[in-house]
Amino acid sequence: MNERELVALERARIDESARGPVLFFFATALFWLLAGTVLALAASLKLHTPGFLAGHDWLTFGRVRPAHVNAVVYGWASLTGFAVIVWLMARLSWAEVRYPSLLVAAGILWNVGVVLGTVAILAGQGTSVEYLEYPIYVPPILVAGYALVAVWSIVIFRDRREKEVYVSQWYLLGAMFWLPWLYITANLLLFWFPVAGVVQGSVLWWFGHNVMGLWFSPLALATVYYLIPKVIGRPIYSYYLGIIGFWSLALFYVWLGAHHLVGGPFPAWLITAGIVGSLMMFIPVGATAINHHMTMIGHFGKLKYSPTLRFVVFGAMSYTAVSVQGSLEALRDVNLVTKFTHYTVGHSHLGMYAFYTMTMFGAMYYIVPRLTGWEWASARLIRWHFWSTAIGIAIYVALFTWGGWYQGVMLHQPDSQGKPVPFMQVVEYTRPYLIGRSVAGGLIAVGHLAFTVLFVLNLMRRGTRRAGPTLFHEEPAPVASQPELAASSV
Amino acid sequence: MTVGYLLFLLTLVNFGGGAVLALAWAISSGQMENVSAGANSIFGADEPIGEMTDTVLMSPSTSADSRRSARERCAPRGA
Repeated sequence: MNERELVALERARIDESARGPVLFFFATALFWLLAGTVLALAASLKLHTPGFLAGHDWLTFGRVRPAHVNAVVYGWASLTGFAVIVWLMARLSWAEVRYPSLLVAAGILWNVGVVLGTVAILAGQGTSVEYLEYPIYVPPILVAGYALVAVWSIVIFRDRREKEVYVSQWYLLGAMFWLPWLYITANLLLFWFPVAGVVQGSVLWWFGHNVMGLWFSPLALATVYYLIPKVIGRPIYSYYLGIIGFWSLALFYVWLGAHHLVGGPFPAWLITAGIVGSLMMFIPVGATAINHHMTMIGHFGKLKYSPTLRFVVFGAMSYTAVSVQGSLEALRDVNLVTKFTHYTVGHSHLGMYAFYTMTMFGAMYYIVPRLTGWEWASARLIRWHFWSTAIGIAIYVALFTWGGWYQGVMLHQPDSQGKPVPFMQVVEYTRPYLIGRSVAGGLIAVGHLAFTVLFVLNLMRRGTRRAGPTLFHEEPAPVASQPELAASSV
Repeated sequence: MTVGYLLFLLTLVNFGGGAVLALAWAISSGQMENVSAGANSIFGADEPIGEMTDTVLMSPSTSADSRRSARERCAPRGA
């Protein structure tokens, strides 16, 4: 066996050691993605058809909407994040996963927390604090599950055989360090030892914004920094830029939440600091965007073939878009119009879906076959998945960016006679955009179903056995048909 | 309230202090010295620079094939 085969075997062993927990995290994440999609569609339909499912307390908008948000934030997004942490940490540390059952136990604990929290929200026991709607007994369960993953990460980092710390590891370790402090501090200061009055608002948005930028963004950026160079076989354009991007994110991001308080009863310096921090984000975002773009130059043609690359590059481009949009939204004049409108909802979906979720789909396309030893069953279904989610989220963001902006303008500016625009007229104005959003949500749901079918087929090792990866535009000759394979595996 | 302020202070110290400690460790352990080694650390003899790992056309000698055969040796059937 030559060196190449030996290293390949070693890499496969490391992947193999991560298989149980990573597939468990992915499978349960996918369940929450589907549950979150159903809840999202219900909430979306209710906004333009108020009578829809209105006869049941537990399906009212005030419960379905937070149930959707928490299911996708804590169920789908955090669980895929854990999967990526485990797989990337093992690969980048060049160390096999020890105690995989510990990680599965962490996943079970986390899922128990999300089930209890979702049922409680639907039962009307939510806290009504955005992103922290789970009742007070759920966070300790989530923290316990998280702690197991964190301890495992520290152990594998300590035992690493690859001594160079790759930029993705910086992001992963940062995220692992930031989440518990954000989550525990917010829960303590809002529920266990509640701070007074308006200070609660500043604590909430310190948490609410940072959970995106210091938990989800680093996880997705770690994935992008690993997968783009890995798929195209070219080192990252500038490692320096990567490091600058990470450290400037660490310095500036924590201030951003205060821009949610523009116009509120808070000290002006706090809000101004938030706005300054938001504009400083051009540094890490610019560094990251230039780095990814320059790495991809000369390789854009590969987007035609590789599902992983296409999803991940879509996510990386959306990161630039959502970050620039977010920095501009922090400006007082812009915020005056966009606050409390659908514009903000479009922005959050550009971040959590077009950036984070699409990147995670790309990661799953790369990781899952390396764990199951089986390629994706159908290029057609992958195409369905990509186009329905990409077009769906593009329509979603475009509709709410346009409609939300004019909704904000109507709420602030008098009409041609100098009178305020009647509120119901503003509501009526947004109706076509809300209907369009439901259509976009339906498209996204189709993509999720296609991906679920692919994932289940892959776990069951169904479909034609392939010699190479399943690509968008190429059908590799089958190596063996299913009956032959079944015979050979006996 | 006092507990709240203490926690807030602790958080600030943790964020700032943690970042400073991590940066100090990175510099002292030489992570910032040879950055090209960091950038190249994700490649290996099995998946060298210059080869896609999601290739379009697979020949028997490509890295993906050797990786695949290795993977299949490790991954048991019916996983």
